[in-house]
Amino acid sequence: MSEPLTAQGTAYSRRAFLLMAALGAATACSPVTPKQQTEEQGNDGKPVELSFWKPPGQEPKAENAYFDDLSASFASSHNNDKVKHLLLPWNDALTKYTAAFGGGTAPDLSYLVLLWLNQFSSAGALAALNDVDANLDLTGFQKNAIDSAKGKDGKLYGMPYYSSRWVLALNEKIWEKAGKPALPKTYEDLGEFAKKLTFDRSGNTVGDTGFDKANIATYGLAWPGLYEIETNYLWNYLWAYGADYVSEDGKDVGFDNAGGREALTLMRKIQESGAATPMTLYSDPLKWGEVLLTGRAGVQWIAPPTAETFKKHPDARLKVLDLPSGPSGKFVVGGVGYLCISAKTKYPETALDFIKFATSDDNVSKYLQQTLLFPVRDTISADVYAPLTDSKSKKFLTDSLPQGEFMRLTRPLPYNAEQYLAGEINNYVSGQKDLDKMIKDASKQIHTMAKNAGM
Amino acid sequence: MAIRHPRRRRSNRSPIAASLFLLPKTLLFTAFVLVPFVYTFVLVFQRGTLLRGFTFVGADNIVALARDSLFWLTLRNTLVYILVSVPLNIIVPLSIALLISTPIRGMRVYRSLIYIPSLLSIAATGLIWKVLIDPDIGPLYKLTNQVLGLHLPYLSRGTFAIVFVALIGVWSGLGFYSIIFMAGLNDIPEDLYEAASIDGATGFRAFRTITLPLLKPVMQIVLVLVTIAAIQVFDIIYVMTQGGPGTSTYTVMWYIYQNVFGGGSIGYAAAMGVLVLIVSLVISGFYLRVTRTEGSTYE
Repeated sequence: MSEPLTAQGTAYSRRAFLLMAALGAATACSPVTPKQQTEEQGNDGKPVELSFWKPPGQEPKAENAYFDDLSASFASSHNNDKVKHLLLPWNDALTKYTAAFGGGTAPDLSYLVLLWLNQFSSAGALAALNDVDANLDLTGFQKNAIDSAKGKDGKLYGMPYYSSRWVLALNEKIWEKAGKPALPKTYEDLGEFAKKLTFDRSGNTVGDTGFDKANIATYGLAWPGLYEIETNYLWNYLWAYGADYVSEDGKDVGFDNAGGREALTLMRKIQESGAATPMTLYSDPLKWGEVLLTGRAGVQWIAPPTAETFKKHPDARLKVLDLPSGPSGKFVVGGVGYLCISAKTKYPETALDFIKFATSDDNVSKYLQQTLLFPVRDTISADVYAPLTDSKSKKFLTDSLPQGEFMRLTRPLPYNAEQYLAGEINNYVSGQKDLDKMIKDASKQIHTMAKNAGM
Repeated sequence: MAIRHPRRRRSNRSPIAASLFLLPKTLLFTAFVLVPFVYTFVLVFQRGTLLRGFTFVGADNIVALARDSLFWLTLRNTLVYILVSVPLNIIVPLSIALLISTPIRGMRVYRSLIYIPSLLSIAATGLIWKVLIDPDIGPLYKLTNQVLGLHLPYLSRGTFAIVFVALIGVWSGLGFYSIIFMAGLNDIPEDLYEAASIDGATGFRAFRTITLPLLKPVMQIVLVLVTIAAIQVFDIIYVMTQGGPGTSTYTVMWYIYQNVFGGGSIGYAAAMGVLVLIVSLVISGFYLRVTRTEGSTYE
């Protein structure tokens, strides 16, 4: 039998040693309930330093430069308080936020998209802005952007910063080559329109004798199957037919109904017609970003192109198309980003002051002019893009701005239904599953995901 | 000949000193291996996330897992990956090791070249292959789909996508496993081949009767390593397909990741992790049994 381990003359039995280790482990593993901090802790009037994490809204270099300037301006007007900006790559952002909020190392300030905001606020990781400032001025903010960021307690957990939405755009050269067919008004029209804009390498279009589906030079419609791209437009189809991707209570799919089935069937019809790109044509999102501009496709849902993009493709002429409608109207997926405060920050009031500073009309306008994103405040009009010097990107933005009235935000769920559902819908649209099986599988899976997320 | 062991000296050092030397390692092992390992089993019976905390749910996670069709799909995809990856990760590196063990001119250069894929990060590997199969500029795509007219779907079609990703995995591990096999081959005494050649056994017969049996211990290690790597496949999926097209390349590890970081339940992910551990243990045990090395050593 081994001797008891001794330290400094004290004898510990093996049992006592194991017990101590177990207690230590249990303490380390016990969940810590985030403690909400809504009153600033004194710093004796000295400047404070806040950390701020944000995925980029533009090229990383320009993004860093913008927030360096913003931070310097804030410091000069706010007791030299510093805001240290850290740029997070989009791919890893959720993972990093989750690890940081879960591990108690969350930044004081963070930029969160709606889905993430909901996940973190419902877990008590974010401070309610109303608790920091009971008289918070929300004048001019779009109502749906504010309402979506409210928790079950009715409190606001993030200040809307800007919105993004994609636009259905047409390559005018391809359109002219096709003889300028009538522009689509509905999703049914879009399918037919795409056929007219599809050419094989011999110049034949869909329906012509000799049309070679295996050798397409120009596809009528670009249809990337990558989750990060597709979820910017996929739900438009479902919403236009009165369906949704999840049910009202968030515990089931929202497309197991006549409208949903009709929308999905139409998507598959377009995909099978040969007029749409295979969803897996490219595995690189950057390649998909070039498809419309290079004339590989005639129509595509895209984020507004920057001046640099137009410079790279000087011959590209793009036209903003009206949003196609369905029996239930027309919609466009909108993403709103929010500036949020960690529940654990020591300086909630300074953090809120920075948010107010960053979301002021002047500062937001500057940011929108660089990023070509959209405002979430009615006080910022289309004039915001007036200083843009590139006429093409300016026209594109101005033409697409009115579509904001059809913007619909994605559902604030505590789990990520979108990535899975986009994949499952792709299984059907690309012919890998039949409709009933896909809906059955998706329904079961959403039920499991909702249950696992505590719904 | 009897080997004389040096007489052990009686240690007059204090056990306290020994404990203090062991303490850092023990603490690190406890904190980063033992506690997470044990805690994973605890989590199997809980539901929740890092942020929300956890609630005890009994066997709910296990029952839900058994009924989860997506989980079974991920198991199927992982199995396809294993079936492609494991045999090829033995056959190809072994063949290459045999080739580069032959004394030919410039062999050192070949050996270095073969190891290059193993030096690349998975992000670089993904980028290289994305370019190779790009429909506009990819030389591999052009060769197979335009010159040879094979119309390979690469990452476009369900099972083909997971098979193709597995092939990239094989390419990526080629150098590492070839080196292991080469070390094993170098350990086989040349005398055995000379004796066999006197008896008329050369070429494939010598390979079958000498090389293969004596490589069994190495093969055992490689088998276990490649199987565990295949079961745990995640990084290449993350870089190349993100689970797509559709859900065709969802593997168990990808699904676990989705559950942990996609707002799912960590307890549910832990249940999957434990199941994967059991499967790995069973497979490893099976390998150890079928590749028992009794009688395969030359001493």
